[in-house]
Amino acid sequence: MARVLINAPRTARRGQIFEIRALIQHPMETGYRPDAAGEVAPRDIIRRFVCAYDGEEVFAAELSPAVSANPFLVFTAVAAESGTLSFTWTGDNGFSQTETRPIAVE
Amino acid sequence: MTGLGRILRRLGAGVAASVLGLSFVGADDARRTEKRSGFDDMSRETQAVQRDDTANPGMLWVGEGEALWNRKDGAAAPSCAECHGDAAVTMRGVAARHPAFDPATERPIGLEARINQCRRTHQGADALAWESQDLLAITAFVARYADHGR
Repeated sequence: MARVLINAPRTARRGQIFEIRALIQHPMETGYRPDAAGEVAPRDIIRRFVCAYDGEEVFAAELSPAVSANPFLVFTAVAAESGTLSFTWTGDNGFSQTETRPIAVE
Repeated sequence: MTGLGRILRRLGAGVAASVLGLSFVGADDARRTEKRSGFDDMSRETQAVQRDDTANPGMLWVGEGEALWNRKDGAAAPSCAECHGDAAVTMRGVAARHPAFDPATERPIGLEARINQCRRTHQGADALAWESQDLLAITAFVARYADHGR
């Protein structure tokens, strides 16, 4: 399980636009880097990030080797109903991780 | 001018200069003791960005370091937490006091070297490799509490 830092508000007013910040620990090996011995490490990156609000996808991102290690994403969503925000990262070598955060909307 | 007159003039000038010099030294001392961080001059938005731990990738290493701090390697060796307890209390300000002069080795010692020294002497463990993920993690965790109160 990679370490994750998520900043999502716990409460929001109905219709309010709130900002979510998600950072995950991942080397994001590009597949182009030769080490001191000249060996190129194979590509190992996160391919896709999805944020779902009560199961409905509200934000998705396709990551490429151009994205640096420990990818940091900031995006916004509109507060509709109280529920759960789920964050899913999927990538090479079967990498898959999901985190959830509750949100209360009044 | 007579020799005596010259001596007296020099004495008078000296006394005047020393009086003025004292007041200048006082002003320097006041400026030195009144320490302010650049943080205080930042706008509130910038201060919020500085305080936001979730946007700081260094916190990933602090998280790893916390796990290593509490981890017990084998039954005989104590974990860092067993001797030092809550790092937020015992390690406060420690990183700011390093590098320091180590009387045991009679050489300056940095924080990473101090952690390795503690591992060798008190935990019976091998020193962590320089710039390894583990050593960076423990050092980041200890340095997290370098400042007092912020």
